[in-house]
Amino acid sequence: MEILRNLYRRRLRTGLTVLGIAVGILAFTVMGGMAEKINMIIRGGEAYFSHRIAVRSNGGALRLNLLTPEDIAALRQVPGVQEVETHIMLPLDESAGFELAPRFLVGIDLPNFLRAQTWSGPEASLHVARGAWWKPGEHQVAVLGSAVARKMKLGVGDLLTTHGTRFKVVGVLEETLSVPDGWVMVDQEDARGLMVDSSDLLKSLNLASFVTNAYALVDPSQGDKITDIMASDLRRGFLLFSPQQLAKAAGQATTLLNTAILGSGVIAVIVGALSVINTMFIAVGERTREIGIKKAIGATRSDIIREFLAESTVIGFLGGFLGVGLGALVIAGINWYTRDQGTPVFILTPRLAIWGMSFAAVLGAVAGVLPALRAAKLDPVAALREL
Amino acid sequence: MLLEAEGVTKLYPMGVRALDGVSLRVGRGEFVGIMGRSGSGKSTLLHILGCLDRPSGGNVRIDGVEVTRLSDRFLPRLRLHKLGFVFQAHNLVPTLTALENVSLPLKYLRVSPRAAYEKARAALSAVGLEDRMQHLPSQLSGGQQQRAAIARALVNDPALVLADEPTGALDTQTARELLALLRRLVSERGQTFVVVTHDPLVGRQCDRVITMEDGRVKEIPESRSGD
Repeated sequence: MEILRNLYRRRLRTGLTVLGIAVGILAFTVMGGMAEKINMIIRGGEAYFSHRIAVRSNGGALRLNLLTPEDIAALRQVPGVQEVETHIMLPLDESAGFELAPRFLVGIDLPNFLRAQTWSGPEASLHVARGAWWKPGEHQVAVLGSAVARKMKLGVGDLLTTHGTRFKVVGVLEETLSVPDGWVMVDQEDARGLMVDSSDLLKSLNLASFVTNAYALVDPSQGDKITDIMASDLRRGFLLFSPQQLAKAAGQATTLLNTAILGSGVIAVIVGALSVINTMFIAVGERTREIGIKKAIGATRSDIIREFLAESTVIGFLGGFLGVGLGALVIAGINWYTRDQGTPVFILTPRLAIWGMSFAAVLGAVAGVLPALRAAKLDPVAALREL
Repeated sequence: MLLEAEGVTKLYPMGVRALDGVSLRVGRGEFVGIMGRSGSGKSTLLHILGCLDRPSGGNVRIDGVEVTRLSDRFLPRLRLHKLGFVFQAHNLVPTLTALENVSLPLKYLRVSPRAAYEKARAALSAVGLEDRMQHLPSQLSGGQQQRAAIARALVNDPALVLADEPTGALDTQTARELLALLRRLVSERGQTFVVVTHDPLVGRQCDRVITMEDGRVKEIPESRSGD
């Protein structure tokens, strides 16, 4: 109570200090919210790729990055490969400029896709939230990622037009907060048709069957070994990415992001701590006589230190609380805006909120140390002479 | 003797000699005044007797404890258990209510909040402030503030109560009432009271008055106390 009353008595100064910390923590929360979202995409990618060796063709002289049925059959022959999942991937909207979360048209062979799902980890499986997968033999049908459905305001039964062709939406996937949210999944033959129609070269080649991406499903621990076998045994011209390589790349990206959060946290530390130190030093100066009285009564140094530290910790905590609150508002605002665009850009996770608040409280406590020590060292006789 | 000082000196930098061999003895239950002009060293003496300051030389003994030999760590504890203070004015912590101000020594004594509340309330009743317990110092008159300060000085049942110009900021009538109250309370509890003042009104209330001049005791009437 005494702490709050002391702070209330100097409410303008306290308020400004709290606001200073709040701004720092606000930056921390918003930056952290973005990092959490990107971390989640990366984690989703890691889970997805932990069981997969990604295979593409380097395209050779023609730059046709295609894999043929013979290539897929060769991949299946490699010992340790349980299944080979094939995709034809096209940008969903060829005229789209920069997209925060790019969207793709993904052509799958449904039986092949569902078999592959049983081999990949549960966290990498895709589930239909509304509607259902199409029936074998059905064409011009699509299952949408959640972000695509939201952005394009499409539901089961609606029509989606892409690459000049209409698809009937038969299902919408559960939100993964990861890459598949931006997918439109269609039958592989339909996707192949779109690709051939858009390219005279492909038309003239008259290829019977091809895909753009293949994923060899393997036991995660065998990933590197099998990738090496593929590299030495298969024909040249494959681009192979082992799960470990992808995990390493993801790890680097995560480290970079976490450094960015830490960076904004450090700015919060410097700005916030300085203003708390300043406020608390002024408070010590103003309350010299009060400290003298308390010491005369019998307060020990540690009693005085404890009182001042408690006060600066409360300032820090209030700043953290306000900062996380404002951060939540900003994040909600931006997400509301971008949700309309398809996908939330920021995620305020509980751990981020708890981190923000405890970080601010610890910051307040640390910033209070010097002023508290000065208060504790005051000579009671000199302090009592102050009026 | 409750309080004994022997050859107490206090030197400040630049050779200023604030106290120059002061010796005095105060018996248990005595009401003693220390008078003198400004700069005579009476406040310095009070600070040393109250263990707020250390002498440059000499000894001080309170209730049998040689306080001049205690380390800095033990002085706050000694003040907490054996001493009570009333200062001139602005005695109270402005952000605390009268009740919380009176509870302060008990808080530092780690008395449970419930017991502290009861004791502080009793101390405030004893000074006639039971209906002002939840008021902040700014909501109390000067006399009421000093009465709350007296309640705080007595709440930990100290053996020795020290006061520095307790009536300095009060009008004559209020000062008289306050002194009468102080006198009654300390004698009821058998406490020893030492007051620094230049107010003759205060002097007249004392059992005896020690007069100081230029850092020395000029006149010291015999202690009337038996022990």
